[in-house]
Amino acid sequence: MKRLILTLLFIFCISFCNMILAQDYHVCEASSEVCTIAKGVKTPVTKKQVINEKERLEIPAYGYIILLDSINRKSYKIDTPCRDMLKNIISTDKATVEELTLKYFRYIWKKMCGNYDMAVTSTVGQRVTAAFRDIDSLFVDSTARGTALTDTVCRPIACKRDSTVQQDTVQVKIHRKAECEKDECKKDE
Amino acid sequence: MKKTNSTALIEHGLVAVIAMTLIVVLGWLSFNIKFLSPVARAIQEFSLSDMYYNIEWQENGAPEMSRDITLIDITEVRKRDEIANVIEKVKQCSPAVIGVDIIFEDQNYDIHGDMVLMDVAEASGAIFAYKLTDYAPMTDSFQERVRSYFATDSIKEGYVNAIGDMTATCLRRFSIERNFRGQPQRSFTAQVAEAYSKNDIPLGKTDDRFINYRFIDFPVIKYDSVLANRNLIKDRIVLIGTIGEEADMHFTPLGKRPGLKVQAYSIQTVIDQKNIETTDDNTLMLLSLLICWLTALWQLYWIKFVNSRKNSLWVFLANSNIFFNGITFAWLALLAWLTYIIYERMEYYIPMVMVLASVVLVAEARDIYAAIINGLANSNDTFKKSVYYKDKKTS
Repeated sequence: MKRLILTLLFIFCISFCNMILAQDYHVCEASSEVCTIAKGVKTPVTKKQVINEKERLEIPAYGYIILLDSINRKSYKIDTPCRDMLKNIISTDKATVEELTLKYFRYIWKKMCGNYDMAVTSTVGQRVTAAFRDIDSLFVDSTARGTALTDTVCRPIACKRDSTVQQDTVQVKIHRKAECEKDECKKDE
Repeated sequence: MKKTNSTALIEHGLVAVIAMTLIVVLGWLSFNIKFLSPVARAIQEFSLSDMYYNIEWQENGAPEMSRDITLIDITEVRKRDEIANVIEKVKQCSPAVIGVDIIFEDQNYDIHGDMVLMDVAEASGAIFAYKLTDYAPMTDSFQERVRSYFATDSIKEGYVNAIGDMTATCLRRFSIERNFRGQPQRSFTAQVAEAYSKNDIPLGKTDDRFINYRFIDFPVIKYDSVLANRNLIKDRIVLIGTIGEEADMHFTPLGKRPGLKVQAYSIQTVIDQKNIETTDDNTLMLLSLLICWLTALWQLYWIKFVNSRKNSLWVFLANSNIFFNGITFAWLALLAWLTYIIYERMEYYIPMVMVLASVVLVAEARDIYAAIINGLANSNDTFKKSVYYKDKKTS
């Protein structure tokens, strides 16, 4: 009986230690640019180094690190650039198939309803702004052929009565064009 | 029985080949006949990747903010000495890389401003934009370029040409390398990403890439509050350009976006290594053929199954084209779902235009094949064994 209790205690201790140790990861391999950051000081990661999951890690573009969680017998290869706590880097995972499927069908449903939700929940002001944005984009250039309702880039033109929309929009364009011509700095892509 | 089944499978394959032939012929006609060009343009403009981005962006809540790139908006700044002042202030905040997405084409009457900007451009170590022009298809090389007036060999530059067909085009891809008078030149995107990561993009990986418009946005700082936002500039890529300038707006899968943001998404794609791979044309052709074959298979067996039922509901369904089209629509939605999952999970994009278009034409191909078989069956009884043969007496 005594042996049994001792064995159980021993197993418990081992498990407890494992749980603690599970927070550490052993570096199997790392590119030279990968480093840990502590109090703003960057230290390059070396092979066989032990990194705690609370440590901040910086992986630049094209850098990589292979970590081993010996307790759970799992290895992690991180090759996406990041600057975050190891815990967060490892837990960042892709959406599951179920989540993606839900998103997909939600999107299809929304489209089938003709973006009904968006139309119902938006305010009159938002709808007018969106309409003006669309009209605005028609007068710009051939490469800017439309706007999304979510677009936050375009500056909305102040609400005007329907009959004045086109005229005012054209005037805005002419004014902007004049500004561009006055200034020689051109921007092209 | 086994022989009959394998013959049926081959016949479905023939239907798939007819569908593919139809799509190739129709595609060829659309692209070569002038008055069908709107159809060709519509097909060219269609990309399921737009839908993937829209799905991602439909989520409520704010997008993730980039920790690598910050944008400085100088839309309202007109004078060159003021632009120089903004660059100078950005430099004081110790950014990792500065990219200026503006071409200062000609020297203007403000000599002082020109001189100041020239000095700052040389001292800042920033990467400036230029544009390649006069493309010669024979040599696959540009012959001319439009640079800033102060451009010299000591100033880093990258071209900012967008990938398009000179007409209204949705920006979905960016380039890494183009030839100028036979010499390879790196794009602005590539130059900035390389400077930030301190690694060159390997020579073998300079193909055009998809811009990953994932659920991420970039902090935008106004020109007059640069110093107040040091923390958003330090050790980051800082792109200076215009956010509200209509002349620099582009049509993207997310709607109208400024060129500076398109550059930011392209750079983020490179530094995050979130490159989206895609299928080559031959694989796509094979995939289309396979899916057409599957479509022909299930459609025929569905028709046979429904026709064999005696129940009045099934009789109604058997004669309802709308129901059959509804099932085909569901099949298309299933294919789109599969490609969406592949795209999200594996970052692999399958251009589905050809696949979906050929699936739609399978019904047409099946009728053509059935007509051929029925015609041949009049002179040769062996064709009467075909699964597509319709016995006039029984039907």
